[in-house]
Amino acid sequence: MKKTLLIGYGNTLRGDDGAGVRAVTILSNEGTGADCFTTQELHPEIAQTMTEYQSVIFFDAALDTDCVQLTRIRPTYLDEFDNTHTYSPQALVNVCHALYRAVPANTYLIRIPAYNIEFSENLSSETNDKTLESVEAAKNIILLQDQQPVAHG
Amino acid sequence: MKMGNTITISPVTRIEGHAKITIHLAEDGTVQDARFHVNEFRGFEKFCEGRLLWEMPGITSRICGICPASHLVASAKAGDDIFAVDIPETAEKLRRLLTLAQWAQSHALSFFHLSSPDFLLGFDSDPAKRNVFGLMENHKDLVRRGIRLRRFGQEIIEILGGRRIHTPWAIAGGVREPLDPAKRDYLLTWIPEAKETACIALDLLKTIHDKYKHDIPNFGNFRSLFVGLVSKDGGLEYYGGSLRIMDSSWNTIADQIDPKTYRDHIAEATEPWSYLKFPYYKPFGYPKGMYRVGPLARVNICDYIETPLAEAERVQFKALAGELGVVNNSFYYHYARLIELLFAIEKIEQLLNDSAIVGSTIRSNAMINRTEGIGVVEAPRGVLFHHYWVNGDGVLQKVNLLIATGQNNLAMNRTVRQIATHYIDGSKITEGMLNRIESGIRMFDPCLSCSTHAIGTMPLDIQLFDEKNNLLDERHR
Repeated sequence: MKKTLLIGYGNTLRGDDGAGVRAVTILSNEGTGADCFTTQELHPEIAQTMTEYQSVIFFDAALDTDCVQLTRIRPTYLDEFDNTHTYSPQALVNVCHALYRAVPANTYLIRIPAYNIEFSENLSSETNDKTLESVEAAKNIILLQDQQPVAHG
Repeated sequence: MKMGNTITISPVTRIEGHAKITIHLAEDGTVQDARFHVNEFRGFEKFCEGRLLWEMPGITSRICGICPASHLVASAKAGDDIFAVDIPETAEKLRRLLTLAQWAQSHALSFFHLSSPDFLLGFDSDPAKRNVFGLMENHKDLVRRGIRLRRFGQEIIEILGGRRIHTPWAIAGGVREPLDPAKRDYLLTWIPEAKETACIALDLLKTIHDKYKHDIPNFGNFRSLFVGLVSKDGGLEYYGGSLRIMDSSWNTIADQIDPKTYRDHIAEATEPWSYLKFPYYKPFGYPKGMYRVGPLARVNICDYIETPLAEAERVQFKALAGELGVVNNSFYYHYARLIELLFAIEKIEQLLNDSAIVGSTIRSNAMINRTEGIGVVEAPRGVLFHHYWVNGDGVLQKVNLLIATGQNNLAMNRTVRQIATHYIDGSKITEGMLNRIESGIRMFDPCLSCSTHAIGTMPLDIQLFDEKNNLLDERHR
C-alpha cells in the first residue's frame, strides 16, 4: 500500500478558488515524497485511486472561514448526495467504503480561507499566506504518516 | 409544491444544469400544458466577441465540464475553416479519438450515474436513495464498472490533452501534442473491460424495456424530424460527414447537406419563459419544424454502423421501429446511447491500432485566410455548431453557437407535456409521478450549462398552475 496522496482541487481561473491546487503544486515541487494530484473538481473515479493509499489529504478553498481548517473525514451513512456530477471529499470516502470496502486509514480535508473568487489566475495576498500555512500543516501530517508503519492489504 | 392549478418541479435533478417544469391544469384538473424552463443565462456568444481566434478553443471548452472536448474540437474546426487548411491525417485521427473518448465518458455518466437509479431502483422508490449511492448498496459491481468506464474515457482525454477537463489541446490547424506510443499501448489494455461493461449495460437495459413496458409508450413517443451527421455512404458519423434530415416515417427530407450551410436549414425561435432557444427546421416553420438530435437521431438516420458489435445492436434497435422504420419513442435514447457507447469503444480500439495515430505531423500552420468559419462535430448530446466571424487580424466580430440540448428543446417540452398528461389528474401530485416527468428530461441527457451558455448547479423545479394561472403546487429539489 502506498503512503500518502495529496489532492488539490479548485478552479485556478477564479482567483482564490485555486488555493488547493496551488498548495499541492508547492508540495509537489518541494518533493515531500507524497503522490500529488490536482483537478478542477472531484469525480467518483478518484475513489478507486484513494483506496491504494494509507493517507489522503484534500486541499480546498473555503469562503466561510478566516483560518486554515483541518478536518478528519470518516465514512458516514450514504444519505447525502448533491445530485450533481461533482463529489465532495466526504462523498468520495463514502464511495471508498461502499464500493471497495477499503478506506484510507487517515483522510483529511484542509480548507484554505478564500476572499476573492473573481476571474484571476492569482491568489489574494491573504489567501497566499494561508496557502503557505496549509502547506506547513500538510508537511507535519505527512511526516507523522511517514513515521507510521505501512499497512498491507 | 401545489398552489392553484399549476405544478412546479424545481429543480430538475440528475441533469447537467438548472431547470424547472411547470404543469398547467384545466378547470377539470386535466393537463392543459407543460413547459420545461431553463432559467440560467451565461452569454458566451457575446463575451467571446473581441477575443482572438487562437483563444477560442480554450475559451469555449470552458462552456461545459461534461463535454468540453466536443466544444474544443468544434472550435478548432471553425479555426481550420478560417485558416482554409486541411489538417494532417494524424491530427484528424487524434481529434476523432478525443471525440469518441468524450462520447464514452459522457454516455457512461448518463447511463450509470444519472439514469440507471430510476431503472434499477424504480421510479417510485425512495427519492433519498434513488441515486448512484443508493445503487451502491445493491449493485456494487455495476457501479464499479460504470465508474471505471467513465474513467477510461477520461484517461484518453487526459493522455491526449494533459488534463481531463478543459484541455486546450486541439487548435486551429491541428493539435498541440502527438500521442506517445507507450501511452497508446496502455490505453489498449482498457479495451476488453470497456467492451464487456458496455455489453453488460446493453443486456441490462433490454431487461428494463420489459420491466417498464407500460410506462415506455408514454415517454416522449411522438413524430418529429431527426437531424445528424452521416458519412458519404450513410454510415454513423461523429467528426466529419454531412447533415441528413429524416422524418418519422423513414423519409429522407434532405441528405448530404454541407454542415456549413446549416443556417439555410435551421432557424431559432425564442419564448419569454425560457433562456433556452427553440431551434427548428426552417422549411417547416416554428414549431412544426421540431426535430431531435443526439443518440436517438444518429442511430435512426444512419444506414449502418462501421463496427461489428454496435452494428448488430443497431439492427436489433431498428426492429423496435416496426413499419415506420424509425424509432420515435424518446425512451429509446437510452438504448441508442449505449449502442453509441459500444461503437465508441470499438472505434477507439481501431484508431489506437492505426499506425497513423502515433504520427508526428500534427499541425498545419496558416494565418487568417477567411473571415468566416464553421466547425461541426457530433457532441454526445447531438450535433454541435461553432460559427465565427473574424476580422483580418483574427479578432472575433461575432459568434453563433448552436448546441445539441437547445436543438432538442421543442422535443423535451413535448415529452414533458406527454408524460404529465398521462400521469397527472390534477388532484394529487405524487413523488413517483414527478420523477417520471424528470426522467423524461433525463432521456435527452440535457446539458443546460452548454445550451444556455450557466453558472451554478443543475437541479429542477415543478410547478402546477390552474386555468387562471394560480400556483397550485410546487416541488423543489
